[in-house]
Amino acid sequence: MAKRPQLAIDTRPWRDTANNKPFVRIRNVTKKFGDVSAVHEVSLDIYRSELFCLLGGSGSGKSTLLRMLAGFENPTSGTIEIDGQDMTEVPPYNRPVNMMFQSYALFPHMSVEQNIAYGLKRDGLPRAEIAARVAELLALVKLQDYGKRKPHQLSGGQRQRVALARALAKRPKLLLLDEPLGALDKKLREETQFELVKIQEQLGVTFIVVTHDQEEAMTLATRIGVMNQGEIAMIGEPTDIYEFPNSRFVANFIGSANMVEGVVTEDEPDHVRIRSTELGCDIYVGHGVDCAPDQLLWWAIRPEKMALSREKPEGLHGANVATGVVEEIAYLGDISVYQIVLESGKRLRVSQTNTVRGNPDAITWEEQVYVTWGIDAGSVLTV
Amino acid sequence: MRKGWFLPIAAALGFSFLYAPIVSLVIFSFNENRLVTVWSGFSLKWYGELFNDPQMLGAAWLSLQIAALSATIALVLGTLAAVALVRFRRFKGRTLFAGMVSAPLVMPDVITGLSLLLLFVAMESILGWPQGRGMLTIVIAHATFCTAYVCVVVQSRLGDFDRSLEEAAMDLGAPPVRTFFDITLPIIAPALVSGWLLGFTLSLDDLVIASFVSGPGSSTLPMVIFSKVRLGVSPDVNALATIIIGIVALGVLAATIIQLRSKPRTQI
Repeated sequence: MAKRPQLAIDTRPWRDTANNKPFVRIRNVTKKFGDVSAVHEVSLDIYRSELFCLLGGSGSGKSTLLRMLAGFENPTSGTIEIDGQDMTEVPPYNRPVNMMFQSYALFPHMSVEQNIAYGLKRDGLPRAEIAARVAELLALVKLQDYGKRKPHQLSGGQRQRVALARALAKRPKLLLLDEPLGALDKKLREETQFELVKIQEQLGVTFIVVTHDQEEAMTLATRIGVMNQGEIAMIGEPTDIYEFPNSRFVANFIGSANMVEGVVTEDEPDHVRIRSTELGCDIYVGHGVDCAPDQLLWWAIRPEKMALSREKPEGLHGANVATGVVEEIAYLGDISVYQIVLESGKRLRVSQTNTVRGNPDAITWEEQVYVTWGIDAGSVLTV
Repeated sequence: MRKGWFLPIAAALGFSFLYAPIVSLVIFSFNENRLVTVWSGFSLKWYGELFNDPQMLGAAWLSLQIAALSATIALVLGTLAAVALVRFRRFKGRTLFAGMVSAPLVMPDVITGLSLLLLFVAMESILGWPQGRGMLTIVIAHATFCTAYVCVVVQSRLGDFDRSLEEAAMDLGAPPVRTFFDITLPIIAPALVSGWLLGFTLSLDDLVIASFVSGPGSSTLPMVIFSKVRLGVSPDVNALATIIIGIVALGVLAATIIQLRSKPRTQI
């Protein structure tokens, strides 16, 4: 459901920063509440027609950053530029930006139509044009028959769509969405994600979405900015964030990861060997890493990047085979997640696809198994 | 489970303790007899007599004017105080201000009345204003304590007001003043109406404070009734009291209904 790139070069402008001007430039923005930095020295470029997700836990500063873009908070230091225009001194009601609020913030005393028309009326558009635009937006969010209703007569999903229509009414250059799907149940959320991406593609508006739900971020985003304690931990496309995390925080925050400590024993340009007492074996990494011999570092691997077997496999370069006993199995239908206890007491989570129906030969509890992985399956992390 | 008999009886006793005197007053206002305590037949003559009593009618008109004026002044001041208390969460002397705004709620009327009287006398001798005591001083006095009630009512309404509604309006292009009139005011309007009605009833009701700060020729309705009753209860006072109970009950009922009806609509 994520945006499908049509032409690699023009749909992914962040890959060619020399020839593309960012649409939103956030430069060294810090926001302090009293002595606490909610946002600390954040710099971020967002390009036109992107669907950018700010992902982070509560208190990570993602909402504060969004509120600064909308103009509800002023940065303590740093600048925010939208479409080449400095926004620092511009109040919220003069910004070319609209926001969809987490609580939807629909005006309870106005009908759906009046809610959507509110921003247009403030712009002083002629009555006929407002009516036409409102009808168009109601059609866009498939609420044609609900124009006369009051917000309290709508379901949660309908309110969400009214909020979206109202935020889009003024045809903003930039739409900010604060946890847009947070209040919906799982089924509705999945449908709405799809709708949201479709509307975004259709209108070509730049979206910045704040969410704490990594699945939502992965599905929606062209790029994700992972935030931690007021700072950007990593910016990248969903695959980069998942497959090539740049730090232990990102590896742990997105998806699940097995993390072990190790010491560099061989540091060559084409490979690295790491000794891990936790794994009880060496890790052979098939590419050079910026590190020094004897350096302590971390190695992270996703559960689905490992394989289980009863017979001892050959191993690669005398490494990448760990031995353990199956302690727990979580059967999830499509996959099963095995928890393996190694001799050191370290637990690994390994997931296996259930390709055979009702497999009688499946690895089961208390069995001794070998865990193996490829030379490029894990990420070496130095921070 | 069988329903107990204790609760209904206790409730009946409780309610009769509260309302039996009022019910008897209403019934006896329709008494034909000149003696208040002797029932001799149904009649509306005391109501007729009431409307031919210029002193009563004048006092009633004065009381209504005072109530409307002081409720309006209290509405403005109380709303401002409530906004300050709810919106500016931290400012110097906030606790003191909050305490002082609600102090008139618990202050004995005698003290409020006496202190206001002293203030007015002192102001007259120093500033020459307000000249003498009369309607103006009563309005000021009533506005003072009604402000406290309005403030409490509006404060609770503003307390559960979703700030993002105002932010949404600004986000859609409404400057702060516009936002206040388009969004804030309509949403807190029920609290304003019930605050005003509350102030109106309290002012209409007040005897003690008004007695302290009124002057010659400015007797409010409760004062006139009180002085009449001191000479012996006359049946036309019963009639008047019935009318007042009716007005007050309607006012309270209206305020409650407005508050209740607006709840589900504005809280989503």
